[in-house]
Amino acid sequence: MGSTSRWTLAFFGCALACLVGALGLMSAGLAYPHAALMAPQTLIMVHLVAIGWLTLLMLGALLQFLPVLVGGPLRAAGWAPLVLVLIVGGLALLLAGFAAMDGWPGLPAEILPLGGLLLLGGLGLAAFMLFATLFRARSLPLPAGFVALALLSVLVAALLGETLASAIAGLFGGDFAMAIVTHGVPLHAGFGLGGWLTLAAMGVSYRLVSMFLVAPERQGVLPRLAWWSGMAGLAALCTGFGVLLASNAPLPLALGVAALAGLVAVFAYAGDIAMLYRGRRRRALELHMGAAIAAFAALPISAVWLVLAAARESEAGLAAALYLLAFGWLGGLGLAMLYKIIPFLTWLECFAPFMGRKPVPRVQDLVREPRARAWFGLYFAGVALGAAMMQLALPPAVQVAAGLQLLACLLLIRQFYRARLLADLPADWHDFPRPRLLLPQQRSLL
Amino acid sequence: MTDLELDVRPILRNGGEPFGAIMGAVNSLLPGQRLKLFATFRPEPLFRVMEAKGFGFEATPLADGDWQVLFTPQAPDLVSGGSTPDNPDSWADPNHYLDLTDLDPPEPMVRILARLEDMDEGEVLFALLAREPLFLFPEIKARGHAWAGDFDASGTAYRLMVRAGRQT
Repeated sequence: MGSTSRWTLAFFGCALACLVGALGLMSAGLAYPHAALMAPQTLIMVHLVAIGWLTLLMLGALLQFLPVLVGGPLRAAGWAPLVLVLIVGGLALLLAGFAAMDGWPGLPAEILPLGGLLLLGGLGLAAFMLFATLFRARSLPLPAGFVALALLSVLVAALLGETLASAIAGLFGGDFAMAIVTHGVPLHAGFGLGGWLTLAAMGVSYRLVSMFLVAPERQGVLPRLAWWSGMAGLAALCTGFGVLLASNAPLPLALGVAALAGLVAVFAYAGDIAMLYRGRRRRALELHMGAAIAAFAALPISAVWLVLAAARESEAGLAAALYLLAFGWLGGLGLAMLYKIIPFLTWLECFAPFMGRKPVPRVQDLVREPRARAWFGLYFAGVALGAAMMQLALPPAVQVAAGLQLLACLLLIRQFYRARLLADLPADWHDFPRPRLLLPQQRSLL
Repeated sequence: MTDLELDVRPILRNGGEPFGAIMGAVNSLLPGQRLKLFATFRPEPLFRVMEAKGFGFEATPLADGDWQVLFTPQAPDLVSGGSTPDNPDSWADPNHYLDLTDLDPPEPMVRILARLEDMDEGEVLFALLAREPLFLFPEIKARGHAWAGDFDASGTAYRLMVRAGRQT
């Protein structure tokens, strides 16, 4: 029931590799603002972040923590490696498809929808595992409700993405192809970044934050308001999608309603998190909870920024807001939680059998906080600088900011790696056998 | 020691419910004292209640169709056949208590497992936690202990009982 998910670290490893790749592209000047917002190079960077980094990170975390959320075992757990292979393979084909759009030789355009199909398969399978876990759970607390909405969103986002990819590859034409390419992108992004990643992050963090801060779980009006307005926002997006399907025309009203509902959800959630921090029983904040504050702050800021930029139709503003949302809120929260989750899973793997029988180190002994504190500071400074420079449309400065983030991420990854190797444990433990880095300890693949 | 006698026949004949009176009498028994009960019928449901409370019984029909039942307190092990790990109702009362609601993971788990190492087989630990300790359960099982737990009525605290298994 509560054992650790064996593939979670493999998901995390692939996710971090994609993060480094995306930041590398940006700092080399191969994406927006050097290229256009919808240019193939930018799309490569965006999908590396949204699918490679954030989606793989979230799925790895959900495989581990959804069973904890609902108090039941993960269903169909054996499919996890196939999910990973499908998503990584699909992402590789998708990126190659974008490269084909960019004029790379030898790559057929059809590779784009083929990648989308693999992604749809991987995400569908993951959603199946997680839904099955939800349906057979003993109880469904509110955080699990957020995850359920998020899983529905990821399926819609993937379907929309596959439709877009097929239209771009010329697999079908006509008015609808024109309409989906012209007006479908905000819906695709809304379902992906808003419905899927943000709602899932809210759901998981509700439980993790109260657990790590030793604070009573949030109940009452505010979390419900967050959930219902998230639901209302998704319903508005669905309406917009339906109208687009039926009439080939966009429905700006639907996006407006979704934006308002999204703002309500974001502020209700941010209020809840503030209450959790205030009601905590652990006075001293560990680094991961301290770093998470920056991520929590980035969410309402980027939400307001996004709505304002959309209202003014400012491309630089949209780019800046999405950058802050993806790297500040989602990515920042992800990195902060990894700083706790990786040592925690490693500790369980190595030391759980010895608990009570002989002395074991504390989880905190697997990390050295002062070192990593500086890297988190560098990371969030890079994110803030990058968003500001995008708004001001200063491409070289954006490159510098992305480079700072890249450096911070590499240094943080080094910390995760050291935790995995038990390298920072006090000297008494240096001879302790180390776990495998990413793959589970076992004989067969499944 | 003389038996305590209780005649509930008048209550039954007046259409009353004698259970309260019987429990009152049971609770007033001295250690080792037997209860002699008179009733107008063979009180089957009462036998199970009294068995659970650790009494054996011997029911004898009287000449006029009434019944006399002699309840005899048993040594605990004779009654239940010893505490069995898979039936939490049969466990001994907890003699170790831990309030772990203020600790962050994995500290509650460490404390519980450390305490279990010092306990004899059959001893029971009661722990209060801030959340369901899902990572602890496989570890408890792997070490041959048994557990039962649930949330309290308000849903804010998780109550866990662990019965220590044979120490290996």
